[in-house]
Amino acid sequence: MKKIFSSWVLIVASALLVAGCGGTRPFVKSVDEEQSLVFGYIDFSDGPGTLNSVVMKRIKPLSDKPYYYLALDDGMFYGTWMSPGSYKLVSFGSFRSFGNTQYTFNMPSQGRGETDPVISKNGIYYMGSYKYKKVKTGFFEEGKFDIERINKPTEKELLVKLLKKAKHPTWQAAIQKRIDALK
Amino acid sequence: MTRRAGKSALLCAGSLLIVLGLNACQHVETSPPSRLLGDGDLIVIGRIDIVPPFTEKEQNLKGIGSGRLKNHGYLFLSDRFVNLSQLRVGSSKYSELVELGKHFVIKRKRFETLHYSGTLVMTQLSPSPEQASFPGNVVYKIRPEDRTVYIGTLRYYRDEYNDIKKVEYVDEYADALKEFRKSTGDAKMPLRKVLPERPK
Repeated sequence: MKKIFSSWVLIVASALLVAGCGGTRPFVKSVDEEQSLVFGYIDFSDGPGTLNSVVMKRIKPLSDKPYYYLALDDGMFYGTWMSPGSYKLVSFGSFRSFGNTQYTFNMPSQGRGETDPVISKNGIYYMGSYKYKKVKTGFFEEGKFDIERINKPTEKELLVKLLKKAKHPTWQAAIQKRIDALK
Repeated sequence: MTRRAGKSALLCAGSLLIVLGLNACQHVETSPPSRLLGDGDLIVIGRIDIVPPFTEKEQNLKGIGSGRLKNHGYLFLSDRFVNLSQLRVGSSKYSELVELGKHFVIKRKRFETLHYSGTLVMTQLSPSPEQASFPGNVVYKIRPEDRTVYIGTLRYYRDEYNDIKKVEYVDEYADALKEFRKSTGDAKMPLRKVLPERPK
């Protein structure tokens, strides 16, 4: 793998991209306003640097601003403001300060994988927990990776973390209700 | 499942540009008068249907020269199978850009076995290039005396993730013959129908 952007380019690019995507900070407004919560986890301990982006695209219905940049907390990714539709995890990224390197990991653009949720109605959607794995390739071959489903952290463990972040009482109630249902 | 990491996006973009660039540079005779056919040439008539067709938003193509990719796909038809998920520099010589949902009339080199690898449709150029591939993996047996062949309509049914749900072969010979006569202006040249076969 190699350096893609220098850090200042990355900052500018991120600002432009975020400005062009739907949504804003999660859990600030009510459940009705922010619609669905989508969350999951990537164990990036074997990856280069620190996970710093998870990007989803709403592919149906398509809009002029289809990209959603999810919030991150120690491998857990989450986002609200996601209206009913078909979504695709398009990429995630990491940054390694040693070497000042930004990495981008593109998911296959065609086909529905297990990381691609279909939100049929407003609610709470768990995308699963995954572990990043580097796939060995030849000396001059392009870098490859895989993500593998793992059992930990569980949906409930992640919801407990999310509950602490939920400021709006309607979100607290919705998340607590889901935790109770998982008991 | 293995995905591409980091630099592959750039490699992909690079190879895409090369693919597109080469196609832009080469002289493409899409409907040559049959009298101008060389000894080793073959006119191929067929059609690729994508159901439902790509909408304006699904083909997010912005940039110089991207207009010609709208509602078009790279049809890989040559003497060999090409792996559409691992295109290499120079792969464009095995393909021809054709309009989707319409009969195409293209000139290819004549081989005893014509390999159809599939059709590649660019769905996005930026921020990262994305494409949808519609696989073929069929061959057409060409006779030495063939100058013009009809390979049928291949109709792909897809969902919003571009997962292919069904592929149909449809015989639209009568319409294809009309299109062939119109585009070549040749009222005599026979058009032989060849059926797709599984490779051995």
